[in-house]
Parts: sequence; structure tokens; C-alpha cells
Amino acid sequence: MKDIKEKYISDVLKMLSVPRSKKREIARDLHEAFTSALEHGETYEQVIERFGSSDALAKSLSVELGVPYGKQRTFCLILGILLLIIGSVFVAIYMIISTTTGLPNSNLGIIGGSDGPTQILVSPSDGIDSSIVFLSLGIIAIILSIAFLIVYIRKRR
Amino acid sequence: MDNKYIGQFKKGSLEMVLLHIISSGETYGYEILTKLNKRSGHVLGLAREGTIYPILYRLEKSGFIVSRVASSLSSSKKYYSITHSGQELLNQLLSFWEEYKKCIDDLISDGSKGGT
Repeated sequence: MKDIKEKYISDVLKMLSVPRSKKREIARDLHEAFTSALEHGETYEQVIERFGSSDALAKSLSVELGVPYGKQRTFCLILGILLLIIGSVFVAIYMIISTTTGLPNSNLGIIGGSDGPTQILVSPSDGIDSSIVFLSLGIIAIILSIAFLIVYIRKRR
Repeated sequence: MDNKYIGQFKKGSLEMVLLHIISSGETYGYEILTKLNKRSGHVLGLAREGTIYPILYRLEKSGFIVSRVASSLSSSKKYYSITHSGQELLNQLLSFWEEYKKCIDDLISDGSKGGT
């Protein structure tokens, strides 16, 4: 039964976006709430029924404390990291493309009859340059990731 | 009967009610909850820890109440007591509550009489 209490409190704390000192205080108070209720003849089940699910209690505490609900903050962190990775990959692809298609010798031809060689650059098609697309997407993803990570950090307090 | 408008009424008065309970003597979380539910549960609805504790944290942070943890072998309890500024706030809130009640009662009774 003690495990139910420990798991319940741990689940609540996981979802709270508050400083560690506040988490410690809430953990202490929830332990006290359980102990006091048991001393007054309530069962673990009755206490948890009154508290509501760990999810509901965490949400209620978050609302009352004026902090974001834990899942929103985790979502911001995951999305921020994911977008940062995607953005970095796109920028890396852009850099690889732009260095390999710099001005390679194979793309140069020499037109005879003139004093010096005339460089002719053979470019892909006249469509959109894929390297620019990767660069643009990369920059957008990185900007968005920074925004999500700022939201994550600001929600911590 | 319970809806968001009634919920707002309840929420707005909880600080005052908790301060009042604490002002009557040093007390701890479960005791506050039990007193609250016993005396007002039929109107305010059953209070839960998820609502009460954050209000206690806010009141303590603002210096209106103070707490001390008393540990025994089997458990530890956080006892809350009201501070001087908390008592002043409570007096202000109670005084406002009296005015508020009278004002609203007058408005409603005027309305029901068809007054302007």
C-alpha cells in the first residue's frame, strides 16, 4: 500500500513544472496528507479518490500555483530539441551541397579560339535550387526550436 | 447546480475562509480540510488538497501565515498560524465581505421589488 502512495506522489511531482524546492515541499505535504488521513481512519483508496488521479491533482496544483501543466512543458522541450536536430541536419545538408557544387572542374569547359579560357558553369535545371530550400527550412526549424526552448525555460519558473 | 459562475464565487472567498480557520488557532493541512468540509462542504462543495495547498503556499509566501514542521516518530505535520499582517488582511476581507453582502442583498431586494 505504501508503494501506491509513493508511486502516486512521484507521478504528481513528475508532472509539476515548479522549482525543486517547491517539489520537495509539495512531496512533504502530500506525504503528510496521506499520513493524516490514514490516522483519521481513511484508507489509501479513499485518500486517492479524494485527491483524484495523479494527473488531475498535478493539473489542479499547476492551475492554482499559476504554473503550466507539466505535459505542455515537456511537449515544448521535445518539440524544441526535435526541431533543433532537424534544422541542424538541413543546414548541414545545405553546406554539403554548396561545397560539392562549388565550381567543380568537371563543370568547366574551354571554348577554343580565344586568348583565355571562358568558364561555362553547368548548373542543374532552371528550377528551385535545392540547397537554398534546405537552408531556408533549416533556419526556420532552428528559429522555431529556439522559440519552443525559450517557452520551456520560461515555464520553469 | 454547480457551474463556473458559482465556482468563481467559491474560489474568490477561499483565501478569506482559510485565513479565518487558521486565525482561530494553529492548525495543519488535514485539520483545515476537515473543518472546511464539515462546516461548508454542503455549500462550497468538498475541498481537496489540490486546491487548499496552493492557497496556503501563496498565503505563506505573502507573509500572511507562517508554518512550522513538528515531527514525531510516526509522522510530521506542518502547522500554520496567522501573522500580524495576515490578521490585518483577514479583518479587511471580513469588513469588505460585510459591505459586499449588504450591497448585493440591497441590489437584489431592490430588483425583486421592481425598484430602479
